[in-house]
Amino acid sequence: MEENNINKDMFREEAYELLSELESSLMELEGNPRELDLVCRVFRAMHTMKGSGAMYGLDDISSFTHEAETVFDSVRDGDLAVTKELIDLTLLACDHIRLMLGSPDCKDTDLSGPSGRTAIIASFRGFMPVPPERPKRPIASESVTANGERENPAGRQAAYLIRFRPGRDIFRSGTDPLNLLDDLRRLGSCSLHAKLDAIPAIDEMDPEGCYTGWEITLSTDRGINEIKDVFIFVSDDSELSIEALTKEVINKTAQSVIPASEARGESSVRIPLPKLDKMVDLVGELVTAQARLSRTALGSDDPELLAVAETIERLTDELREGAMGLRTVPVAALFGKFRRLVRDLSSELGKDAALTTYGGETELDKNIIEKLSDPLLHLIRNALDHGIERPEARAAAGKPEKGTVSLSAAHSGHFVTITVRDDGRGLDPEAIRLRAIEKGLIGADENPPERELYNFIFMSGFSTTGSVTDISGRGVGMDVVRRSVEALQGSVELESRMGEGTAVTLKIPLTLAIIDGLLVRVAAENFVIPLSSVIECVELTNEDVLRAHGRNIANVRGEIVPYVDIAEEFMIGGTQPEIRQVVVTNVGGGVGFVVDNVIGEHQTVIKNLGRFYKGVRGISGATILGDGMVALILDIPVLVKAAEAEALREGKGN
Amino acid sequence: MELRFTAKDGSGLLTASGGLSVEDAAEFKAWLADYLSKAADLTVDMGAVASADLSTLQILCAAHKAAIKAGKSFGIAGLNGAVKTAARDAGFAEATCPLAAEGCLWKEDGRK
Repeated sequence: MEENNINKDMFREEAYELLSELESSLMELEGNPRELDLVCRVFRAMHTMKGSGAMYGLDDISSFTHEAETVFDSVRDGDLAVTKELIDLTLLACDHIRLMLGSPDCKDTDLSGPSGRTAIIASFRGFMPVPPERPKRPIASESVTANGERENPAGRQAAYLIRFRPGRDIFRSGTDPLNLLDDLRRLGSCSLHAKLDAIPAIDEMDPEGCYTGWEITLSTDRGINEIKDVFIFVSDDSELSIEALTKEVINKTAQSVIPASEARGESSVRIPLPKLDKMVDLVGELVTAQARLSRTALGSDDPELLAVAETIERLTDELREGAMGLRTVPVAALFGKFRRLVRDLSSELGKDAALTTYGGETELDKNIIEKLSDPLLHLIRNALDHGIERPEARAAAGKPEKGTVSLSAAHSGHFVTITVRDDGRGLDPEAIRLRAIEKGLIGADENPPERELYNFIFMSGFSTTGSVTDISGRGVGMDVVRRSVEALQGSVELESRMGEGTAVTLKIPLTLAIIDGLLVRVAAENFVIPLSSVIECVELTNEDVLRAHGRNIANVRGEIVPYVDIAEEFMIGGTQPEIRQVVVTNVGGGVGFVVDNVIGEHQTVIKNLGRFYKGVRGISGATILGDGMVALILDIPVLVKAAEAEALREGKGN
Repeated sequence: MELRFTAKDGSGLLTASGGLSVEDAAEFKAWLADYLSKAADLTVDMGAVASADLSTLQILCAAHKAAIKAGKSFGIAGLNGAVKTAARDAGFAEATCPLAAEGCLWKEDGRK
């Protein structure tokens, strides 16, 4: 039972990946309906899904996929053209398969209705150019009795791998091997490929000899004996093997269906994420220990110890790079599913837009990718709903009727930047300004620069749209987007030009486990500020403080920078130095943090605080320094918000 | 089976028509081998072939292999109709062949 569940989980994981691949290929195929390579890709994904489903006894999925595979078999043969209706139906079928994967036993529970199993299968069959010669096989919906039981348990779909190499003289015996292949096709769905390695050059061949062999995968609900019967008259003089499909065999045949130019030599192993996380944790510990070793070696004057410490440092660096890369996956995995969203959503909104992606091969920590899904989803919805105009409006503005939403990703040091850009109507700074005035955020005569105005977009409840749709407009989304990204130690920036479009850029650290930090000190306490948030450090003298008349603000090249005094915030006593440092960050429009000293950059292996300290405001974690001391990692966005709230309260009190 | 050969500047075009089956295999092979030996570059137009079977496909493959060995060029034009059906039914479009890198007759990259 346990093994059964494990198998189903394994199948589910693979099936979700296959579905992703399938949808991606279908989107591409829609734009390139004659591209045979894409058709083959679609067919292969369905074939693998069907075979795997059959192997794990998941007949509902296997037989359902078979219907779609049959249609694409005809497409592959050139007997059927790819149309929007076919793509729509196949995408619907993908949704249906997802539904089945979501049920405990991968059973099909959605049988009737316009998007139920029966309707989808009927639609697929409606595409077939000629009525199928194969005898009708019972499918789940047809074979369910009044009691809900299957009428024909013996008709269970199974998959077989057949290797057949006829004897040289098969023609002379009166048999055409192609007729045998036709007989196999009558038993079920076949995919075959010929082996031509034995065909000699023309001068050396016997024109009436058979030099061809085949490898055939057959999915059928007939038993193995019926398959053997096909070869009954030739088996004595031929090489023949028929084996039920196992995982290894499925993978091998899927591989062999791939054209040689595409077949890769790589192999891979699936590893459960907790195991990987543990490994990354251990590497983090090693980095910390190595820092201590280096420090000790430096202070020891022992040349041998120094040499060993250097070697360990080099190896640890490599291990760290490798470990950071272990959990990273290409963002293309994320981009793929948005293509379909753009397609469906633009249709729904009566707009014409396509998604283009760049930099899909950029890699990012798997955990981070999962957390970015919702924010990106919202940004794309926004782009379609509020950005891209309707075709008529675009034409009137001299733009192409088809709008473009682009998703791009790129590495930038230890960060990844992901940009969602549209060529729509762009933001209207005046509308934002008026709304900000309406909400009491600025005075009626104030005219802040565009950059500041755009910041208002990220405030909860702020929306300039007159209409709230199902999709967006409530003013909740952008606030959540920013918070989600900041929770990942990232940042969000917005650029826009009215009439031309908008671009929202997310900047995310490559991994959450190890970040670049700025080590600072307040009295005897060490803190780390994520370097991703730091813009610059400036001095703060006693005179500066006096000039501010009790307000926590600093003057940085003429700009007013509000700051949070860390000593005040965490009630750290002790004598403050004459000159302190303001670490100016890019959070909250540029809030600074005042510390006694800035020590320098520090590669910070993040440790969780543990249950008891999780609720401490303003601290997101801790790290262990080379001397064994603990430094607390400041949660900059939280501290900024708290300070803003405090300022608001004080303002109201006055 | 009917075969018509035309040559120009060392390139040969062999146009086949009618039915081709294992009964015609010996004759088809002999003619094809002969024309291949005389031309540096041979194309076989199979568009008008009414029926073909596995022997036809094998002979074409064998001619291709011989051409590669001899450093000559060989291809099929007009891959539609009967020959295409036979190639599809025989799984030749999905074939594995040690000379695949030279281009396969049954895939786009090897045809003319």
